[in-house]
Amino acid sequence: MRIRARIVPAMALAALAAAGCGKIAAISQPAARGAADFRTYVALGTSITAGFVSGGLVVHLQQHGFPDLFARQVGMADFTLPSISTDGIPPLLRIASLSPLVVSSAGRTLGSPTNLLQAAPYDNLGVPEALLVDAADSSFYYSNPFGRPSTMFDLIVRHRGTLLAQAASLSPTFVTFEYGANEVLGPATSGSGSVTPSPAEFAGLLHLTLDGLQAAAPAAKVAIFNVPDVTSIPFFTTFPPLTVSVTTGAPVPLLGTGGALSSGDYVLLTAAESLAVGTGFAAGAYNYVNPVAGGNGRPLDDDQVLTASEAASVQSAVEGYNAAIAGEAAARGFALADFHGLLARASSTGLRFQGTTYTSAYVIGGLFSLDGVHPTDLGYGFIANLLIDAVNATFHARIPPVDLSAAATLTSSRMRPVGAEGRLGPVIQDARRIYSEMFPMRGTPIP
Amino acid sequence: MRARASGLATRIGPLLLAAGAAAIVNARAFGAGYSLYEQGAAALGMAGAVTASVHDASALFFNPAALAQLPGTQLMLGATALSPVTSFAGTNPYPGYGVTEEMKRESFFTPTLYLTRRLADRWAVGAGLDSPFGLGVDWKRPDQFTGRYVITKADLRVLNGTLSAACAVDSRWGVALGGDVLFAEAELHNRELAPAPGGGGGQVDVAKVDLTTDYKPGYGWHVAVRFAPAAAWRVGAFYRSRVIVDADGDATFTQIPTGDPVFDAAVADSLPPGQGVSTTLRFPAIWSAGLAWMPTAAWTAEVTADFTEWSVFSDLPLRFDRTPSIDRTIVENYDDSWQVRVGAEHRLPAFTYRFGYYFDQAAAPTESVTPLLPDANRHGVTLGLGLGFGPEKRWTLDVYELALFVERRSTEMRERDGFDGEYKTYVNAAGMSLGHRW
Repeated sequence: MRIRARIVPAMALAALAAAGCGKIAAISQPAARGAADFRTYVALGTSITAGFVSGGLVVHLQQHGFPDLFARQVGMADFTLPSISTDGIPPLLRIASLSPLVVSSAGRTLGSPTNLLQAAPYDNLGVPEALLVDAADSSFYYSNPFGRPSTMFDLIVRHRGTLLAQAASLSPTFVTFEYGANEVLGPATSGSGSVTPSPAEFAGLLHLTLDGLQAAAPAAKVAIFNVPDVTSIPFFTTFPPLTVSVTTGAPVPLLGTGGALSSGDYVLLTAAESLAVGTGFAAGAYNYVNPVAGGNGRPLDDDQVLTASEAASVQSAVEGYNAAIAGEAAARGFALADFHGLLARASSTGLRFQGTTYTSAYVIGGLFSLDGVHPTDLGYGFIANLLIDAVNATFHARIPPVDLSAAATLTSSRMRPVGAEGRLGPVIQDARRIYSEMFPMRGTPIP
Repeated sequence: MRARASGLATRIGPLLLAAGAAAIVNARAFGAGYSLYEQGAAALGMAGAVTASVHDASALFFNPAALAQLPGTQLMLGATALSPVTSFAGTNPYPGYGVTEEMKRESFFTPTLYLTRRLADRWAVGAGLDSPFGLGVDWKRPDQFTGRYVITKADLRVLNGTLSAACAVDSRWGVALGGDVLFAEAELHNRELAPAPGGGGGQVDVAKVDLTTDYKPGYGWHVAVRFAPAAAWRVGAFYRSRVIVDADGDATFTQIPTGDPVFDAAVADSLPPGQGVSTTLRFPAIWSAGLAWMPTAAWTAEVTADFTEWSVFSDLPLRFDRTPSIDRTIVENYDDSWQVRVGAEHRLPAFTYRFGYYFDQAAAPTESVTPLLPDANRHGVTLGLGLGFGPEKRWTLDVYELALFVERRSTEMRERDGFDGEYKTYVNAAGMSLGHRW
């Protein structure tokens, strides 16, 4: 007995030690839980919801968009989207040259839809170029009243009724709603501060649209995104309005149609090709895009500059829109995904991932794709986690966050650097056409 | 590193050789933070619960006030072999569910050397070398390790020289006062990653970063007391002060080619040159108090409580001589922590056996549970055996075995470098001490 009394504790200790020696088992992703029902998720919104990257839609990047990531996290395996084949619609931008930095879609093949005949509406009903008014009213999908091509509506809405009606036909249990960005991006990317609709009009339209959504899909829980300050994105911040004198080093403003630009003005990415030949730079000023070209003293066009007052007008509209969105979210019990706050952090402190601070810098910042407006795959990962945080907080859910290492890819833009030619760049070839199609300037007030 | 270790050996070599000490090697941290309590086999057989009852030369570490009760001259040489197993399972958002990582399985040694001498009826002195702190981290597959941007390999090597004078005030009271010179050096290795230009946010390895500091000294002091309120009872307490070491060394940045000559050229332009680096290494103060009970002449049981002022480990600053723009401060914000130890010793005619248990509270807040130091609560179970031999049993041989169960610890998606998941560690330690009394 005495021997056994001594052996048993020793054996127990040995067994414990053996158990402790083992390597930790991999942790499986937990299932999403909570008050919301995620069995049928439908995404409504703009190009951000559609998974637009580097100027186009293509399936291998659409699958990195926040709706697809969210659907995976909530366990919806059959989430569908309008799949576009390589090289996208429109063909995606890529880096033609890293030094000088030249971004172009030249030489790429126009993609085609691969599931256009899908019987049911797509679960991802995000439409690039879509406005809030488009959610419930199909009058403007194909008639081109805003100067926008109908391609995206043809591909995604497919002449099958309104977006809300299609969403309702899916009997969604959960909806994300992301509108408002195109209303401000249209004028802002065209160098105009004339935002329509006004915040009051937007608020009224939003209220009616959400009434319609809740009437059409009464069982659905909803998460709504607010609108970012678009002037913080690379499209507006890449080119500074000031340069220096080649001879004295003193600050020298760039030139616009109104004369010298102020430090609060924004030189748009669409000015790249003009800057590269010296336009916008005074004689004797350092040309930070192409030093060899110097400055020719000619001003940038009006649509290549967003003045400080125009930017203030855009920002004021964004604030008004967001007040309306926040009010509706609070009144209706929606989760509010603070997209505005996320991009504010990106442009101020940056976002940390894998030991690196990701910023809003063009190309090298890692958050924005080559069009300087839409996120990279990693950027969409951050948006998905922003959404998940909001949904978890509002609906007491436990949706696991997205694996950012899987979200971040190396090749979304298919970098193809070539030899140096002396320009510092960036230059986006055919930028005016690309952006005018992406964000048409709406001269006509929205009905 | 070997070159520097050799340099140190040259400087302190005569002392080590004279004492017959083993080589100084690093050891992983097995107490909370980066402390090492494994400084005497007899004491560890009782889980270190000996602040009131220590009765060999390891009193220099556990309670120098006991030196005045040690007869004659005593020399003790000891070592512990530590064999840790640490693994990690990732969660989202990074490095993701399903990811597992593991540290290399290695054994580490902590040598101890203690020499004590009774000078007169009331006075005694002692000198010792030990390694009360240390850290060794070496993750497998450093080129693929998902936390390589935080750390791939780290070492903190410490050698502490201690000198104490003790006085038996009367038959019941003993006090001691002493000083410590603690030499420390550190190594940190990691990878620098950068987003691929124009990519989807994915990163590529662009450089290896290696920071090494030389052994530098820091100074501390300690005070201890021992009290025998009754024949069957002992009370002991000590305080060992914090030690701050200002260390400097070298930083090297080695580019890792990505295969893209333009990107590589841009990385090369932005990579800092090799240069000097300095840091501040902080070692906490420790308070300890113990109560021992000797119900018979053959039995001793003790409970000890230690309080470690880990809040001193607020950060690890890294200052670069030539490129101050890359200075960084690794924020740690450790909390003070408690350890509770209970142990017993049964002295039989032929041998002595010991056993004990201790709980060691984690000092790291959740945000600081990193692949550099995945701190967690620990539960140690110890068994020990002691033999006396030779004429008048002047020789003693003590051995112990420690099974240290470290609680699984989750970063709860709050780790400050964005490396989230759960860590699991188990440590097996076996040690011995050989003592001689003249």
